[in-house]
Amino acid sequence: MQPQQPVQMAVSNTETIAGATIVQSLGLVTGSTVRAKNIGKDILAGLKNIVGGELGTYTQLLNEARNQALQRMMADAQARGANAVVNVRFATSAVAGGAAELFAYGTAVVIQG
Amino acid sequence: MIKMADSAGSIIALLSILPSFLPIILIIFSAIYGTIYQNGLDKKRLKRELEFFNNYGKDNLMTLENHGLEGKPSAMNLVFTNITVGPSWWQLFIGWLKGIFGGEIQSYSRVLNYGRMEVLQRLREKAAQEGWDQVINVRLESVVISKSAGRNDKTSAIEIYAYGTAVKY
Repeated sequence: MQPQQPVQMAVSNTETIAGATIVQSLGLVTGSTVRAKNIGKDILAGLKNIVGGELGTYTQLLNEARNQALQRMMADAQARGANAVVNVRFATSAVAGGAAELFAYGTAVVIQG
Repeated sequence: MIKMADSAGSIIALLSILPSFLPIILIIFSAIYGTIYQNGLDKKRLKRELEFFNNYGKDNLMTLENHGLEGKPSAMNLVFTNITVGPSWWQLFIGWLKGIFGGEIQSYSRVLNYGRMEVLQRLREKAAQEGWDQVINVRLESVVISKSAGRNDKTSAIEIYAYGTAVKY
């Protein structure tokens, strides 16, 4: 897989895009990624677990992963010829121990204005 | 000579029984330092919240999608923030004890409450930093991250994330 340029487009979790009208709906687009944490992060988080509070290594990891899921969704939308994604939702589930799936979905639309 | 050998022997004996005490030492450390640390986190968060409200004058988050309250927005974009929190060993222990008798597990609610308030505060700050006026349609979700494969230890990490649409009027 070649490195992709980050996709830039209007994304919102509302049903409309400000200052534009939706002229065409191109269906549901999705983007997902399954991430496993590495043992180093596990050890750091395990140590942090003694005192509790934020487990910074996981926060960062999941944030990056969610960004990637969003990027994939936007790439999907771009491939369909959309220039915006509305009503975006995030979902996360812990699949097989130690890994989490991050998932983003929304409706690809063409906007004008 | 005999005395030295004796003291060396007692040190070795002490070192050899230390590992069996280690969990207890760590739990006590967790109870004392963990409480101090989490109190500090709460204080820092409250200070940031207060600072934000003083500077900004209002809360810039809302769960409504109706953005017509202050006129039509001219630009919008998705924003999201997240945090992963875990209860300390001491809190896990208290939670386990509470699990026998039932009732509210305050040690867990405290950690989750901290995480939720913190992630909302991060969303406020992120939106304000990027120059947005308000975040509409905010959604909060949480998910349990299992710690490692093969272990059914599902209580050690909870990810909380918040997302919404940042708008500019």
